[in-house]
Amino acid sequence: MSKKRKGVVEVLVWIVVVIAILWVLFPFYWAVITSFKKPADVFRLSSIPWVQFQPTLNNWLTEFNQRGPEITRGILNSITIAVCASLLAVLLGSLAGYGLARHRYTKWRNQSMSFWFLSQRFLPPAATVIPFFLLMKSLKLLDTQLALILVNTTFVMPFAVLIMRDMFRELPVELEEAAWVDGCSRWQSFVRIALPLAAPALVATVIICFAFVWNEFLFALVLTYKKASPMTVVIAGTEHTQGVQFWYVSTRLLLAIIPPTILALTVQKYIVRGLTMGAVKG
Amino acid sequence: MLPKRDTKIEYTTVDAFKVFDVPFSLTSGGPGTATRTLTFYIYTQGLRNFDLGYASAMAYFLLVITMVIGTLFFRRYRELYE
Repeated sequence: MSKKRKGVVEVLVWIVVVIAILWVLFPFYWAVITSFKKPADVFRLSSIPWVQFQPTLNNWLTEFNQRGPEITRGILNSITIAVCASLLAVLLGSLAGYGLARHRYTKWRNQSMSFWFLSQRFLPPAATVIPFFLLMKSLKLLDTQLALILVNTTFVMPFAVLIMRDMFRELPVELEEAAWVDGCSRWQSFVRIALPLAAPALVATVIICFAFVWNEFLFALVLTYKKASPMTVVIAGTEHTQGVQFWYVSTRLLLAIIPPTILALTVQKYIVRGLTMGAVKG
Repeated sequence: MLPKRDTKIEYTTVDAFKVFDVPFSLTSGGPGTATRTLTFYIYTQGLRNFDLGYASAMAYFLLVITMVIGTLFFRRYRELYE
């Protein structure tokens, strides 16, 4: 009886998993087939190539021939901004996280400061978009990559701080104490002991920050016009007098998926858990 | 599991107030004003019509809404972790 019930539960779990996978993958399938459709077919409900519509390469060819430079510039801008902002955020975030995990501050409590960082996650970016616009205008940083790097760093850094704080808290302090006994300064023990041991968390934080910055749209739209426009703005820029040209949207978004996927696949192997397990006895 | 689920619910609720890119690129707030989110409204008022004061006021309104949700969350968070 119980064995039978177990089997039923397993089947139900599998059904849920399959539905979840389809739910996630269906938009990608739709984007791929839309990029191969003729404009007339896009607005008809047709989902099976060669049966319901005749696929064509026209959209891809037009994109590469006419708007190749624009798209390349968009992707390069996105990569520069995302890489710089996530590295800067992780650099500052690991320093702040280490401080919050190891030091005991007296004027403000550590907990209050952590809450402050957490509360930044709740701050709607729209609330700060106008001040940032005016600020960048007076600094003459409009339409530069630097402006977007700075703004995006502001928004992803709290996240990096929280993740790194939790990571450093989990590291046994005894490892660093051993280093101090051997004559390391606090800074050296941070760079040589704590940071390498926290590498998996560093890599994970970089990936997540990269994804956040890669998908950022509001500030990219407000702070850039042409030169420094990242890929998100280029994707949204297909709007035409006849409405959104979905076939170009799908080609561009499929191109925009490639760099983060490559990054995630290459750094995946650095994410390992339990590196310090058994480092301290007793 | 429970704290994580609640955290996720709070994040998603707050994130829903920040929705901007999808209505902007797909419908531009239309048909009519059906898909105009608050963030999108702030953007159009402030940076298209350049009514910066009104847009800033709306931005503060949005901030208050998310702060209310956030306060509920923090109260629970403190209960759970302190």
